[in-house]
Amino acid sequence: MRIRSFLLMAVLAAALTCPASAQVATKKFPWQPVGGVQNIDLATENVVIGQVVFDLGSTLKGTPLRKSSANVRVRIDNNSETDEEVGVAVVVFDAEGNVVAAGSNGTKWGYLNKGARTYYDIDFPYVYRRLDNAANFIVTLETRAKGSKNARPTDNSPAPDVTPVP
Amino acid sequence: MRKAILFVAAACLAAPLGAQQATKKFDYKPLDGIQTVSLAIDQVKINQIVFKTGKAIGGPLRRSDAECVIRIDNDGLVPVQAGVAVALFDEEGNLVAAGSGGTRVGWLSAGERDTCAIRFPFVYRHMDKAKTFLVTLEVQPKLPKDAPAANPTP
Repeated sequence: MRIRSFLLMAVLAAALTCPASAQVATKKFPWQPVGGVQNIDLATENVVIGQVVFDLGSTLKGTPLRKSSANVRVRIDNNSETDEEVGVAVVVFDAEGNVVAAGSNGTKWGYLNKGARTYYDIDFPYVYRRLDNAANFIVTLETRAKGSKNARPTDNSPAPDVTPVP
Repeated sequence: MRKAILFVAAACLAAPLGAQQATKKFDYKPLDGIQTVSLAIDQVKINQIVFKTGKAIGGPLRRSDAECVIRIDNDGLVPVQAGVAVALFDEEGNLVAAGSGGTRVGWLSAGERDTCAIRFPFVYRHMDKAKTFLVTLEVQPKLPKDAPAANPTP
C-alpha cells in the first residue's frame, strides 16, 4: 500500500513538473512594409515576433549563379520564463494567391534563452522573381520550451484562403 | 510609317519572355511519401513530389531532416531557370512547413529532368498533420543571344 501511494505521488510530481509542450501560431498580414520594415504581432504565449524586414534582393547578373539575395529578417523576443526552441516560416503571396516567396529559419543550436532577443534571416533564393507583386504574407511561429516533448497548436487563426492559379 | 510599324513589330517579336509563374493547391495524400501532382508552365512540368516528414537531428542540434524532393521536367525547346516553392498547411490552415528550391547554377537544358530538394529544417513539428499544400513553379526561359536583356517581371 505504501509503495502504491509512493508511486502515485511520484507520477503526480512528474506530471506537475512536466514543462509546457510545443506551440504553433500562424497569422496573415497585409504587405505594408515601409522601407522594407513592417511591424507585426505574432506570439505563442510569451515568444513574440514583433518586426519583419523585407529585402527584395538581387541576383548576380552576367554569372551562371541563379540564387537571389532576397530575404526577410524576423525579430524574435523570448519574453517567457523558459529557454525555447524557435522555428519561423514565412510565405508571401500576390493578390491572386500565388506564392511569390517562401522559407523558414530558426534555432540551429541549443535554445533561445529566456529574456533574449534574436534575429533570423529567411532567404528566398529560388522563388523571388515576382516578390514585388506581394500583397500579403503569412508567418508561422513554432516554439518548444526546454524539456517539452509534445506539440499542440495554440492559435486557431487560419492561413489565408489562397486562390491558386491553376 | 511602314518602317516604324515593322520596327515595332520586330521589337515585340524579339521582346524577351519574363518569368512565368503558376501556383496550384493539392490535397496532401502521399503514399510512402510519394505523391503524383500535375503543374506545368508551357512544357516545364512538375509531376512528382516525395515528402519526408523527418525528425530533429538530435543532441543540441535543432534542425530536422524533413524535406520534399521535387522532380522537374523541361520538355520544352529552350533551357530554363526553374524555381519551386512549397507550403504545407494543416486542417485549420496553419502553415506547418515551407521552403523553396530550384536551379542553382546555369540552366535546366531542353529535354532534361532534374530534382530539387526543399528542406524544412526549422518549421517541421506539425508536418504529420498536413492536409493540403501549395506548389509554385517559377520559370525563366533562356533568351537568344541577340535578344535584349530580360526584365524578370510577371
